[in-house]
Amino acid sequence: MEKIHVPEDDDPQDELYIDPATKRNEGVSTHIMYVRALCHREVKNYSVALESYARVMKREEEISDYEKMIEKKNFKELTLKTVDGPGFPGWRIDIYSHFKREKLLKENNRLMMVNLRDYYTWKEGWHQDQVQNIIKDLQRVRFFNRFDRETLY
Amino acid sequence: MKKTDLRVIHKHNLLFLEPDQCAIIINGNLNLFSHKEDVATPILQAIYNPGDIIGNKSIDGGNSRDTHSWIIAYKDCDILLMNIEYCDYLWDKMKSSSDKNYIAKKMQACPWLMHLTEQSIYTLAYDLLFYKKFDMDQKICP
Repeated sequence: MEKIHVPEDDDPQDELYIDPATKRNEGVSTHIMYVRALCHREVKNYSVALESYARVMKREEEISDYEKMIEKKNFKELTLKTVDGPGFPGWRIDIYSHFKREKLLKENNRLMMVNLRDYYTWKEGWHQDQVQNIIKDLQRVRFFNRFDRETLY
Repeated sequence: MKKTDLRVIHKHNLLFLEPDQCAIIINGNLNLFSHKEDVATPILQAIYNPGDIIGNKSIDGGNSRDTHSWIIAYKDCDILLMNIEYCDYLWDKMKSSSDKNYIAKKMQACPWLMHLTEQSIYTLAYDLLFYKKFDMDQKICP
Protein backbone atom coordinates (compact mmCIF):
# COMPACT_ATOMS: atom_id res chain seq x y z
CA MET A 1 0.00 0.00 0.00
CA GLU A 2 1.35 3.42 -0.97
CA LYS A 3 2.17 5.64 1.94
CA ILE A 4 0.24 8.93 2.02
CA HIS A 5 2.44 11.96 2.52
CA VAL A 6 1.34 13.90 5.56
CA PRO A 7 2.92 17.40 5.76
CA GLU A 8 5.05 17.89 8.82
CA ASP A 9 4.91 21.25 10.57
CA ASP A 10 8.62 21.24 11.41
CA ASP A 11 9.86 20.97 7.83
CA PRO A 12 10.71 24.53 6.59
CA GLN A 13 10.19 23.41 2.96
CA ASP A 14 6.65 22.31 3.74
CA GLU A 15 3.80 24.61 2.76
CA LEU A 16 2.16 24.03 6.15
CA TYR A 17 5.34 24.85 8.03
CA ILE A 18 4.84 27.41 10.79
CA ASP A 19 8.00 29.20 11.89
CA PRO A 20 8.66 29.58 15.65
CA ALA A 21 7.98 33.36 15.62
CA THR A 22 4.55 32.83 14.04
CA LYS A 23 3.82 30.04 16.51
CA ARG A 24 4.65 32.45 19.35
CA ASN A 25 2.30 35.08 17.86
CA GLU A 26 -0.65 32.71 17.90
CA GLY A 27 -0.52 32.10 14.16
CA VAL A 28 0.00 35.69 13.05
CA SER A 29 3.11 35.96 10.91
CA THR A 30 6.03 38.21 11.80
CA HIS A 31 5.47 40.15 8.58
CA ILE A 32 1.88 41.00 9.48
CA MET A 33 2.87 42.08 12.99
CA TYR A 34 5.63 44.25 11.51
CA VAL A 35 3.31 45.94 9.01
CA ARG A 36 0.80 46.52 11.83
CA ALA A 37 3.56 48.16 13.89
CA LEU A 38 4.60 50.32 10.94
CA CYS A 39 1.03 51.49 10.24
CA HIS A 40 0.31 52.37 13.85
CA ARG A 41 3.60 54.23 14.21
CA GLU A 42 2.71 56.21 11.08
CA VAL A 43 -0.58 57.40 12.58
CA LYS A 44 1.14 58.04 15.93
CA ASN A 45 -0.75 55.31 17.71
CA TYR A 46 2.40 54.54 19.65
CA SER A 47 1.03 52.13 22.25
CA VAL A 48 -0.34 49.74 19.58
CA ALA A 49 2.83 50.19 17.49
CA LEU A 50 4.89 49.14 20.51
CA GLU A 51 2.62 46.22 21.31
CA SER A 52 2.88 44.96 17.70
CA TYR A 53 6.59 45.57 17.41
CA ALA A 54 7.22 43.74 20.69
CA ARG A 55 6.28 40.52 18.83
CA VAL A 56 8.92 41.23 16.19
CA MET A 57 11.53 42.83 18.41
CA LYS A 58 14.93 41.20 18.80
CA ARG A 59 15.83 40.65 22.44
CA GLU A 60 19.41 40.82 23.68
CA GLU A 61 19.88 37.05 23.42
CA GLU A 62 18.51 36.99 19.85
CA ILE A 63 20.73 39.64 18.26
CA SER A 64 22.99 36.96 16.77
CA ASP A 65 20.07 35.77 14.57
CA TYR A 66 21.26 38.13 11.86
CA GLU A 67 24.73 36.60 11.92
CA LYS A 68 23.19 33.13 11.54
CA MET A 69 21.13 34.39 8.61
CA ILE A 70 24.08 35.82 6.70
CA GLU A 71 26.10 32.68 7.50
CA LYS A 72 23.44 30.66 5.67
CA LYS A 73 23.53 33.10 2.74
CA ASN A 74 27.33 32.91 2.61
CA PHE A 75 27.34 29.10 2.50
CA LYS A 76 24.61 29.07 -0.12
CA GLU A 77 26.63 31.42 -2.31
CA LEU A 78 29.77 29.41 -1.62
CA THR A 79 28.12 26.23 -2.89
CA LEU A 80 26.86 28.12 -5.95
CA LYS A 81 30.44 29.43 -6.35
CA THR A 82 29.27 33.03 -6.64
CA VAL A 83 31.75 33.97 -3.91
CA ASP A 84 35.24 32.57 -3.31
CA GLY A 85 35.14 32.45 0.50
CA PRO A 86 35.76 34.49 3.64
CA GLY A 87 37.51 37.77 2.93
CA PHE A 88 36.72 37.72 -0.79
CA PRO A 89 34.33 40.18 -2.48
CA GLY A 90 30.71 39.35 -1.78
CA TRP A 91 31.40 37.50 1.53
CA ARG A 92 29.22 39.15 4.19
CA ILE A 93 30.08 39.73 7.81
CA ASP A 94 27.98 40.95 10.71
CA ILE A 95 29.86 43.97 12.03
CA TYR A 96 28.08 43.83 15.41
CA SER A 97 29.14 40.24 16.16
CA HIS A 98 32.62 40.98 14.87
CA PHE A 99 32.98 44.01 17.16
CA LYS A 100 31.51 42.07 20.07
CA ARG A 101 34.02 39.23 19.65
CA GLU A 102 36.89 41.70 19.39
CA LYS A 103 35.57 43.47 22.52
CA LEU A 104 35.37 46.78 20.66
CA LEU A 105 31.88 47.72 21.78
CA LYS A 106 31.47 50.13 24.63
CA GLU A 107 27.92 49.38 25.69
CA ASN A 108 26.95 50.67 29.11
CA ASN A 109 30.10 52.72 29.40
CA ARG A 110 29.15 54.80 32.43
CA LEU A 111 32.01 57.25 32.05
CA MET A 112 29.90 59.98 30.46
CA MET A 113 26.46 59.08 31.76
CA VAL A 114 24.73 61.52 34.10
CA ASN A 115 21.55 61.32 36.11
CA LEU A 116 19.44 64.46 35.72
CA ARG A 117 16.24 63.03 37.18
CA ASP A 118 16.83 64.77 40.52
CA TYR A 119 16.56 68.13 38.77
CA TYR A 120 13.39 67.39 36.85
CA THR A 121 9.72 67.11 37.85
CA TRP A 122 7.48 65.37 35.37
CA LYS A 123 5.10 67.75 33.62
CA GLU A 124 6.64 70.73 35.43
CA GLY A 125 10.09 70.65 33.89
CA TRP A 126 13.50 71.65 35.22
CA HIS A 127 13.95 72.99 38.72
CA GLN A 128 14.86 76.57 37.90
CA ASP A 129 16.93 77.08 41.04
CA GLN A 130 19.13 74.13 40.11
CA VAL A 131 19.91 74.99 36.50
CA GLN A 132 23.56 75.65 37.41
CA ASN A 133 23.92 72.10 38.76
CA ILE A 134 22.17 70.59 35.73
CA ILE A 135 24.57 72.36 33.38
CA LYS A 136 27.58 71.27 35.41
CA ASP A 137 26.46 67.64 35.20
CA LEU A 138 25.47 67.92 31.56
CA GLN A 139 28.92 69.18 30.60
CA ARG A 140 30.28 65.73 31.50
CA VAL A 141 28.37 64.25 28.57
CA ARG A 142 29.87 64.15 25.09
CA PHE A 143 28.46 66.82 22.75
CA PHE A 144 27.44 69.02 25.70
CA ASN A 145 31.08 69.22 26.78
CA ARG A 146 31.70 71.25 23.62
CA PHE A 147 29.75 74.25 24.95
CA ASP A 148 30.27 76.83 27.62
CA ARG A 149 27.85 77.44 30.49
CA GLU A 150 26.19 80.46 28.85
CA THR A 151 25.30 78.55 25.69
CA LEU A 152 23.72 75.70 27.63
CA TYR A 153 21.79 78.05 29.91
CA MET B 1 18.46 73.94 28.96
CA LYS B 2 15.00 75.44 29.30
CA LYS B 3 14.20 74.35 25.77
CA THR B 4 14.77 70.68 26.55
CA ASP B 5 12.73 67.98 28.24
CA LEU B 6 13.90 64.88 30.06
CA ARG B 7 12.32 61.58 29.06
CA VAL B 8 12.94 58.01 30.17
CA ILE B 9 12.70 55.21 27.64
CA HIS B 10 11.95 52.14 29.70
CA LYS B 11 13.39 48.67 29.15
CA HIS B 12 12.12 47.01 25.96
CA ASN B 13 10.32 50.17 24.89
CA LEU B 14 10.80 52.09 21.67
CA LEU B 15 11.86 55.63 21.00
CA PHE B 16 9.13 57.46 19.10
CA LEU B 17 9.96 60.95 17.91
CA GLU B 18 7.68 63.57 16.42
CA PRO B 19 8.88 64.99 13.07
CA ASP B 20 10.09 68.23 14.69
CA GLN B 21 11.82 66.54 17.64
CA CYS B 22 15.25 65.08 18.15
CA ALA B 23 16.82 63.36 21.14
CA ILE B 24 20.22 63.31 22.81
CA ILE B 25 21.12 60.44 25.12
CA ILE B 26 22.44 61.41 28.51
CA ASN B 27 22.23 58.14 30.44
CA GLY B 28 22.11 54.59 29.02
CA ASN B 29 22.15 53.17 25.51
CA LEU B 30 19.70 52.80 22.65
CA ASN B 31 19.89 50.26 19.82
CA LEU B 32 18.94 51.00 16.24
CA PHE B 33 17.63 48.02 14.25
CA SER B 34 16.91 48.10 10.54
CA HIS B 35 14.33 45.75 8.98
CA LYS B 36 15.14 46.88 5.46
CA GLU B 37 16.87 43.69 4.35
CA ASP B 38 14.73 41.13 6.16
CA VAL B 39 11.60 41.95 8.13
CA ALA B 40 11.94 39.01 10.50
CA THR B 41 15.70 39.32 11.01
CA PRO B 42 16.64 42.96 11.59
CA ILE B 43 20.23 44.14 11.52
CA LEU B 44 21.65 45.98 14.51
CA GLN B 45 22.93 49.15 12.86
CA ALA B 46 23.97 51.33 15.78
CA ILE B 47 24.39 51.42 19.53
CA TYR B 48 23.81 54.99 20.65
CA ASN B 49 25.78 56.24 23.64
CA PRO B 50 25.50 59.38 25.79
CA GLY B 51 26.05 62.44 23.62
CA ASP B 52 24.68 60.85 20.44
CA ILE B 53 21.99 62.80 18.62
CA ILE B 54 19.01 60.86 17.24
CA GLY B 55 16.38 62.02 14.78
CA ASN B 56 18.16 64.91 13.08
CA LYS B 57 18.58 64.01 9.41
CA SER B 58 21.15 66.67 8.66
CA ILE B 59 23.43 65.32 11.39
CA ASP B 60 23.01 61.53 11.18
CA GLY B 61 22.27 61.18 7.48
CA GLY B 62 18.67 60.11 8.14
CA ASN B 63 19.55 56.65 9.55
CA SER B 64 17.42 57.06 12.66
CA ARG B 65 14.46 58.43 10.65
CA ASP B 66 14.36 55.65 8.07
CA THR B 67 10.96 53.93 7.65
CA HIS B 68 12.42 50.58 8.62
CA SER B 69 14.47 51.82 11.56
CA TRP B 70 13.34 51.04 15.10
CA ILE B 71 15.12 52.24 18.21
CA ILE B 72 14.95 49.97 21.27
CA ALA B 73 16.07 50.46 24.87
CA TYR B 74 17.38 47.25 26.43
CA LYS B 75 17.70 49.03 29.77
CA ASP B 76 16.11 52.24 31.04
CA CYS B 77 17.60 55.13 29.13
CA ASP B 78 17.39 58.91 29.77
CA ILE B 79 17.21 61.25 26.82
CA LEU B 80 16.93 64.98 26.39
CA LEU B 81 14.25 65.94 23.90
CA MET B 82 14.54 69.14 21.95
CA ASN B 83 13.27 70.87 18.88
CA ILE B 84 15.29 70.12 15.74
CA GLU B 85 15.75 73.85 15.11
CA TYR B 86 17.32 74.29 18.55
CA CYS B 87 19.55 71.28 17.94
CA ASP B 88 20.65 72.80 14.62
CA TYR B 89 21.41 76.04 16.40
CA LEU B 90 23.64 74.21 18.91
CA TRP B 91 25.29 72.19 16.14
CA ASP B 92 26.07 75.33 14.11
CA LYS B 93 27.38 77.10 17.19
CA MET B 94 29.64 74.13 17.91
CA LYS B 95 30.97 74.20 14.36
CA SER B 96 31.75 77.88 14.43
CA SER B 97 33.29 78.13 17.87
CA SER B 98 36.13 75.66 17.93
CA ASP B 99 39.37 74.99 16.11
CA LYS B 100 38.35 71.28 16.07
CA ASN B 101 36.26 72.37 13.12
CA TYR B 102 39.49 72.52 11.12
CA ILE B 103 40.06 68.77 11.65
CA ALA B 104 36.45 68.00 10.73
CA LYS B 105 36.71 70.00 7.50
CA LYS B 106 39.94 68.20 6.57
CA MET B 107 38.26 64.84 7.23
CA GLN B 108 35.22 65.74 5.14
CA ALA B 109 37.52 66.52 2.24
CA CYS B 110 39.17 63.05 2.45
CA PRO B 111 37.72 60.71 -0.20
CA TRP B 112 37.62 57.74 2.20
CA LEU B 113 35.90 59.66 5.02
CA MET B 114 33.56 61.91 3.09
CA HIS B 115 30.70 59.38 3.26
CA LEU B 116 30.61 59.37 7.06
CA THR B 117 27.74 61.26 8.66
CA GLU B 118 28.43 64.69 10.12
CA GLN B 119 27.87 63.24 13.56
CA SER B 120 30.57 60.60 13.06
CA ILE B 121 33.01 63.14 11.61
CA TYR B 122 32.57 65.53 14.53
CA THR B 123 32.75 62.73 17.11
CA LEU B 124 36.09 61.74 15.64
CA ALA B 125 37.27 65.34 15.46
CA TYR B 126 36.23 66.28 18.98
CA ASP B 127 36.70 63.10 20.99
CA LEU B 128 39.11 60.78 19.25
CA LEU B 129 41.60 62.80 17.23
CA PHE B 130 43.84 65.73 17.90
CA TYR B 131 45.55 68.00 15.46
CA LYS B 132 49.24 68.75 15.58
CA LYS B 133 51.19 70.81 13.09
CA PHE B 134 54.76 69.90 12.16
CA ASP B 135 57.41 72.02 10.46
CA MET B 136 58.95 70.96 7.20
CA ASP B 137 61.71 68.33 7.69
CA GLN B 138 60.80 67.96 11.35
CA LYS B 139 61.33 64.45 12.68
CA ILE B 140 58.12 62.84 13.93
CA CYS B 141 58.44 60.33 16.75
CA PRO B 142 55.20 58.43 17.35
